[in-house]
Amino acid sequence: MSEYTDAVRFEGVSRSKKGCLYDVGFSVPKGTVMLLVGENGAGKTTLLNVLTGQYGADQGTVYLFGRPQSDDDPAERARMSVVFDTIPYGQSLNAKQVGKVFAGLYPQWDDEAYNRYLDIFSIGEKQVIKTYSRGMMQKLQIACALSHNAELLVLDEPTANLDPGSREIILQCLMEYMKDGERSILVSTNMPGELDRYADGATMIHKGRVVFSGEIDTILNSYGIVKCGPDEVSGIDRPDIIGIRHSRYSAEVMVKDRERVAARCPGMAIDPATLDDILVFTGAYGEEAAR
Amino acid sequence: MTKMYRALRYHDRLVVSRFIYFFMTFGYGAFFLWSFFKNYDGYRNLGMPESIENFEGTGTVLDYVYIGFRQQRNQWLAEMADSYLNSMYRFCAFFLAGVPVLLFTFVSWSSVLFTDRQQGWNRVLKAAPVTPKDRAKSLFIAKWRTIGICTAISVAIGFLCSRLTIGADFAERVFFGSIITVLIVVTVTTVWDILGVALGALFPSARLNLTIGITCCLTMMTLAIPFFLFWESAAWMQYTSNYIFGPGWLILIAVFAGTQVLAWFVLKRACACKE
Repeated sequence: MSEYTDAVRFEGVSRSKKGCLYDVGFSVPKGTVMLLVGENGAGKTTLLNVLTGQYGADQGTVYLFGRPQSDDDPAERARMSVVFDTIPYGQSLNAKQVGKVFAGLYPQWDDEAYNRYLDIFSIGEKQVIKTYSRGMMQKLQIACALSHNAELLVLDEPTANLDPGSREIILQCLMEYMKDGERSILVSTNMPGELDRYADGATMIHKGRVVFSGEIDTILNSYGIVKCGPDEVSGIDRPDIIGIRHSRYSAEVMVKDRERVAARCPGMAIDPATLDDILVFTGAYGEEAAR
Repeated sequence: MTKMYRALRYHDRLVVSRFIYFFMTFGYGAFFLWSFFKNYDGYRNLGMPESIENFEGTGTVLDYVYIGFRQQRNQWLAEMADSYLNSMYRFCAFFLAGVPVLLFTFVSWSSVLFTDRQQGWNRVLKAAPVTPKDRAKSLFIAKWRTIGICTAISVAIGFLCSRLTIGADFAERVFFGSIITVLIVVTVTTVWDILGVALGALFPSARLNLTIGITCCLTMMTLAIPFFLFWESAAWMQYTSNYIFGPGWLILIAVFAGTQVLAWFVLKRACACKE
């Protein structure tokens, strides 16, 4: 494994068509799991498509393993594996045939590991893909992604169609994959609560812009939910407010620096926030805060 | 590179197996035509074929039913042979060789496009350690592999069937007619595909649907051209060059090769293109 600090680094990536991105910049340090969080349509898949070479960017640079991304460098692509939001393999193939295709594509393909993952995920070798459930399709993609010894896994909502048991099995496999500390994962999700205990960092995208990016503990220590009366909301500085949820007799205000708000408004109760809370307040109640 | 188009190879198998299935399904039709032409003289003579004259029967009323049925059938076949002989010849030639060739050049060409663009393998290949040039190369090879297999089978079967049923001259005409048809169909569909890719490049947001839509529509329309050309083009080739390498062939092959070279560059460009 070669030396680099960040497995992926986005610098000022912008794109104006088919899923807009505006000056996106963040990095996935080597050996970490980074969640890419955002509501539907926020730009997560677009960003991953730029990373995996499906889409082009109007501006900015994507660095992979410390070097600018290149379309003509097969060695660079061999170090990355991708799980797409929908299964991209021919529907008439079975798992065994898909394995053969991947064995031809990836020089470090490990057939033994692939068969082991098929066993773990209970996928029959001969079953044709078009007869799979959506969860099985997702599992097959993950089995392929884990079987060619990639240094970077890019996963686009990998647990979206999975039952809790299957989700747990897959997350355990991902954690086992991360054991040597040399590998990195960038995983997008709109349900971060399912994955945050396995992740080191989180980046949130909202309407194509990065809202925050950093270690999860730091983010969760900073954000908080102020519970107050409707009249007390005006006492909180506007720039601190992420979103406001009004109920009949009270209001909940998501703030991004809870220590500062606590210092300025000493009487208010501030609860810690989860990534799910931040996503809900940004997506559903952010507009109200902006007014 | 050697193994990277295995996905397409699997798809090729599907196309070829459907192709064989097609022939098996229509085998009955081919068999009917074969028996019709083989027994044509017998049907022309009306009356009772030898098998009925010598028919001993069971000595019951069923014998009259059977003989009556056979006579009626022979009568009908003879009338049909008289009035439709010429068109049947043409139909037979087109059916034996023309239809499968047209169908499967279209299927194989579009299957490559569909495999790459619609079924999603393009996403896998774009993220995989494969350069755009290699991807274009694999698509081009896959296209010609499927066209090659399907064409070889259908031309061979067309030739053999017409050789067995009608005769050497007819078979020769079917054989060259098939090859000319393939060249024309592939040339014209390639031109349409180039146009489709070009239009897709002009309107990037609609690239996928536009390209596939235009390619398929125009390809389907194109199928009508060789339907009319099939017979006459073979006759023209016979007239101008007696099937030997002459001006007709030169023009056809030059246009064909030109479009393929152009298609290669367009395909290479398209493979490097990002949405």
